[in-house]
Amino acid sequence: MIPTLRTGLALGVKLALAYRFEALVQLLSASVVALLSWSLWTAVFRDRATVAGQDGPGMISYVLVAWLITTFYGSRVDQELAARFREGLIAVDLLRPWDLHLHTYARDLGRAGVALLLSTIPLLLLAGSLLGLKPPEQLWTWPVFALSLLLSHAIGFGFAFLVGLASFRLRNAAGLTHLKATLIGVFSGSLIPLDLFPEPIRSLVLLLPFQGMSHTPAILFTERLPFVQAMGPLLVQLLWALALMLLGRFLLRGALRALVVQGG
Amino acid sequence: MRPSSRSVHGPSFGRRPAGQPGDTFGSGYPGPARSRLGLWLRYAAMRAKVRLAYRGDFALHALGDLLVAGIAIVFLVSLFSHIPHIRGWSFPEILFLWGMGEVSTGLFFVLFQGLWALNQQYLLRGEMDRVLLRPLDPYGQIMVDHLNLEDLPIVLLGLAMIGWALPGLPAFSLAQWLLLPLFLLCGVLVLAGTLTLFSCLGFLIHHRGTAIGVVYQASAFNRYPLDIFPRPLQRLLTFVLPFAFIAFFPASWYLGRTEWLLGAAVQPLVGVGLFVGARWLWGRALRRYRSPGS
Repeated sequence: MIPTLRTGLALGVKLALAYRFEALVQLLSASVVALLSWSLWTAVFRDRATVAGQDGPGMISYVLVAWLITTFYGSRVDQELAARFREGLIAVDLLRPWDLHLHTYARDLGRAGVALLLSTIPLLLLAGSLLGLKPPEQLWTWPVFALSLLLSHAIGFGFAFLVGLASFRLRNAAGLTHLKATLIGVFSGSLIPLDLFPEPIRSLVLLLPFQGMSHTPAILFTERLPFVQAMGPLLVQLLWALALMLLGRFLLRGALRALVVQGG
Repeated sequence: MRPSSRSVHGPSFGRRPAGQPGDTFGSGYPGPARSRLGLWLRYAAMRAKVRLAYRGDFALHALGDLLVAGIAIVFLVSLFSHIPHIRGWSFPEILFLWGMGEVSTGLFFVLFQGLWALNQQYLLRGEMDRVLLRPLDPYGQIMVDHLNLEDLPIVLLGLAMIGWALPGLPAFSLAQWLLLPLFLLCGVLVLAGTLTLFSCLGFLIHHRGTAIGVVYQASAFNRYPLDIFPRPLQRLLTFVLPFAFIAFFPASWYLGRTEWLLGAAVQPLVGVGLFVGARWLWGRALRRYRSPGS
């Protein structure tokens, strides 16, 4: 298990570093969107003190963190798996002496680690110095936020892996990929703060796994909850991450039995 | 992933039925096109047929793009369930502005998706060689190659947003109704002109072609009232990346604001001028094309 994780991680880092231009583009795109939502929310709070129970600085910090960390957890494993399947290269992947699920996770974690250093952290620093993103005041927030980020990536990966597996059966992932992007955009908090949803919908959305991707890290970073209560959302994240991982492993077995390798 | 045979070998799109004098090749080949326009239409129809061969894929793509565009509606509805206005702009006003932007953006993606393929497929992989061998405008060929009918539903979504906004807005005059299609089309040209301009970079610097994605990303600003942004940003969106011309300036006229009448009046000129200028520059940049030889 450890060698699988290590080789996967190293491969992910190497692949991510090979496309440095893309990292720059990702950084620029993400900052344009961050600037847009910062401008919008600044304008919204010019005429009122609170929206949905949040004050200006709190909401703006939430929105910025929730959006900027998508550069970290945003997994393209679903598209990668679908492409490997479409080109028939999945057969080669299955010959390799490692566990496909674990290896893919480690490789995506390597990708995310590079993105963290090249995009997420510079963007957060930039937002902190230019857009008024408030850094946490309590020291404990940092390790809790870091752990929460790791779990948000695990949830993002777990979900992307399931979508990738679905493409083995559907033979086509394009529509599903869009659907995934939409679900994450609407229900994770990355584009729409979850507190904006009217009440019964808000509570339902918080029951979905997607809230663990952006909403939880963002409320932890903005210190909405004291330490003991902050463990609750973190635990929920952990449970979702484990559930999605186990489901991925379980469904992979079934998918491989049904897999038809396309020639090429 | 298998094309259904019906749509590939089905009734041909040409004007002449098979077996007539123009049918040199048998099997329904419609004969040479009579005019330049006919040739373009036949080219476009051929691309549409190739794309429609994968019906399921086509439908999923269309649905997916529609869903992604729909996130905005969820956002606007939930935001305005908490606040009555943003800096004096009401929900129907923003909805109308957003709808105009969505129609223009949707049409842009139907017609100009080829800009995204330019670097990777035509410049780095060298498919430009094939394009240059044909006696038709290269830019047009690339755009028609990537004709993207999947995004037509986004245009409908934008029109639906405009329709949804109308009851909350003052009634438009006849002139405003008549000019609406012009503004929407020129909005497409503003977007296409700007991105065509930036796509010229691909001829100078070889890269894997996501650079125009950043510029496109910035066009999202066109769906918000310009005056909610800080002043430097307003200038940027008017004079440098003129995205305020896509929808905001014309929309402000429909919404009864008088501050930006000049912007609305020159919008068609900006659209046409920018696109024609960008196309000319693109043609100049094309001279620097070097085939990768593979």
